[in-house]
Amino acid sequence: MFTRSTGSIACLALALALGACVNPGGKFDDFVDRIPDATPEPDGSILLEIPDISGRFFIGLASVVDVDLPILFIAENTLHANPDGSATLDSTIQPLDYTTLMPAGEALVFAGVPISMTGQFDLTKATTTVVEGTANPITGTTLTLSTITLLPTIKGEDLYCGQVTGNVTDPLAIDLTGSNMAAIRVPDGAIGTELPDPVGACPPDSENPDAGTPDAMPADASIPIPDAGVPDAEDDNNDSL
Amino acid sequence: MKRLHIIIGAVALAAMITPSVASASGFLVARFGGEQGHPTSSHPSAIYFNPAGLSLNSGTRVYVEGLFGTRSANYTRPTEAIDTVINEGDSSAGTPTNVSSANSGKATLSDLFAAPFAAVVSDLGIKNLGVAAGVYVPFGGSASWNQNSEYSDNNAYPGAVDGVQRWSSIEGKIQSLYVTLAGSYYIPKLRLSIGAGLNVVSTSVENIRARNASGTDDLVSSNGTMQEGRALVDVSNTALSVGAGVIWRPTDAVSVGVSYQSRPNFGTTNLKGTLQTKLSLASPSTSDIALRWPLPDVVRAGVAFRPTRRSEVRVFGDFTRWSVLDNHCAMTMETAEMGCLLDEEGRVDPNGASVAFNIPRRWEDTFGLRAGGSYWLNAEREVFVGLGYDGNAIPDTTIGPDIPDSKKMTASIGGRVLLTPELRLSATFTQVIYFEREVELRDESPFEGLSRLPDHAGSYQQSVSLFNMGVEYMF
Repeated sequence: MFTRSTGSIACLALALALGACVNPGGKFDDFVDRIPDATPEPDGSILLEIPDISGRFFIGLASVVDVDLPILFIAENTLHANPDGSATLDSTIQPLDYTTLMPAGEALVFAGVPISMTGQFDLTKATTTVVEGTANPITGTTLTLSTITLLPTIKGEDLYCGQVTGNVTDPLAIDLTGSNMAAIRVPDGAIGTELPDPVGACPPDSENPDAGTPDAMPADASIPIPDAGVPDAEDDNNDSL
Repeated sequence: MKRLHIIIGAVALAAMITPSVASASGFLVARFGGEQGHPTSSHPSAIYFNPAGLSLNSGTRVYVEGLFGTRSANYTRPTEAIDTVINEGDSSAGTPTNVSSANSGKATLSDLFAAPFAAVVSDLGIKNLGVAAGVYVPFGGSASWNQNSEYSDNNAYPGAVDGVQRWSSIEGKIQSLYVTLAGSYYIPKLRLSIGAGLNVVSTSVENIRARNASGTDDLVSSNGTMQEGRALVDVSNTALSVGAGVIWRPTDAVSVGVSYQSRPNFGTTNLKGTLQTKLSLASPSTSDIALRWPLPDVVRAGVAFRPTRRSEVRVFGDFTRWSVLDNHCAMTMETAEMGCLLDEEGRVDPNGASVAFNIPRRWEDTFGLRAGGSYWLNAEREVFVGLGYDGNAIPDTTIGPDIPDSKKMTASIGGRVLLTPELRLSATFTQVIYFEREVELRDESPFEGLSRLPDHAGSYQQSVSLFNMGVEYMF
């Protein structure tokens, strides 16, 4: 078997006599080795009450390959509060054309998604998902994903955000781990030019868990919710605690 | 058995060594045979330049040649070519102004290289017949750019150490290895020789370049995270092609030759293999791809004239149809059959294959012209000189340090010595003088989406020195 390493040795031996030896694969490995590890994310805290995120939300999904060109969605949510304080969520997430902000392609539908007492929930689609090229602002090509998981935490009634994982399989294999998303409340029916600037990740001020209801622990719950681009007309819902 | 070892050794050598770019144009690097390699020649290199020449000598000849060379090149990228320079505090993606030298300045390259040619030619004891087998690399190139020591061990910008040219090439090689069987017959009545050859063409490409998802040279995103990544292509395939030619000798003193080498696979070929990517903070991943790899066909023509018994004058040229190289388009393996469909600005047509990336080329046809002469000091010793011009295949819109072609002149000098009736040595030194090339800054990227690349405006300089040394054994 003529492996990369034996090839390199053979190439080196020839280079001593004849020169010209290249090893692009080695350069790739060298680059990966030079990149520092990412910082781990903090865990969330227990909530006394899960904020109601029913309604219309504008989602920005900042993929790990280019955080400045988020893939955009509009979500219609219905939150079902349970007597024990827990809740479930129904959510229909519609990709948007990145130039017109109008619907593009098929929506992702989730029903009965449990929300934990830390405000976290898991929107996983384990079957093939296709994002049309018009909804891909990075390259404009259609993306096929084998899985996609949104792992947001509710920060308040007007904001939920968190990490995204999954795998793009076409046209490139891309592990989406490290991607982020943020959903900000918008008026019912808002679409196209009516939508605000998107937010692709949890705003820095929202990193302390929740912003919608008092915490059971820790006691510090007086962190103002960032506006996060919500239109002024919706400020009534933009709680401060 | 000894002769067989010579051939096997040459094949092994050819499979492992790639010539650095010492191109006629594009990455056509067919310079084997030195001044003997031309379309009216009976030299063993006729197996490629014009198979009709194979029947113009008698007996059996085994020829092994090494082409040794040095190449130095540099590319200077102006700061203005950087996609976006950002100041401290700016919340946008780009290259921070305090590290603009990570994306602008001078990149250098200096390589030693070697490329083999080996062929055996025989008349098989039949008058006017010539058959041959050979192995050689007419298309190829390799490059390994020097590192930018200013960014050694820089954790904030771990990609910058690979040089300012890295968005086009860090290190790579292209190789089309030809194994040829050819035959020729001389028709005395017509004073005409005809020949043809069948080539098995093994092409491999391995190249790494810096790449980010947006096709820019942005080092960081708006939130300060690293944006630069890498793309490593490793693909290959094997295809067939043919060569054919005629040589007419209207008199004993005049030879006129015309030859044709077809495109490998008789059209576009897809190289298959993998694309490894490391984009921004995403984990490294590997995709199976088919890389569209159009190679050109080449027409050659020449005239050789012997004004005296001791001298010969040659004029010959070639036309290389590099315009077939429109894109190097990497498609997913599953959809490659649908073809790479792109619009004028390189955007992907959803009716075609799924495209992983595209490098626009849009090369142009080239021609080359060479003139040379030989003088025989006696029956055993020949000296020769040559002067040539070769065109440039690459337009300003798509040039990059990966293949920095330009117009060029060549000057050659050499000789052949018959040491014994069976053994002949030949040597040629060629200096390739590349015209310095200045590429203007672009107003905006001519290509979008997956075809977008950083601006490779700037200054390109290159110099190549070649030394062919051949041994011919005749029996």
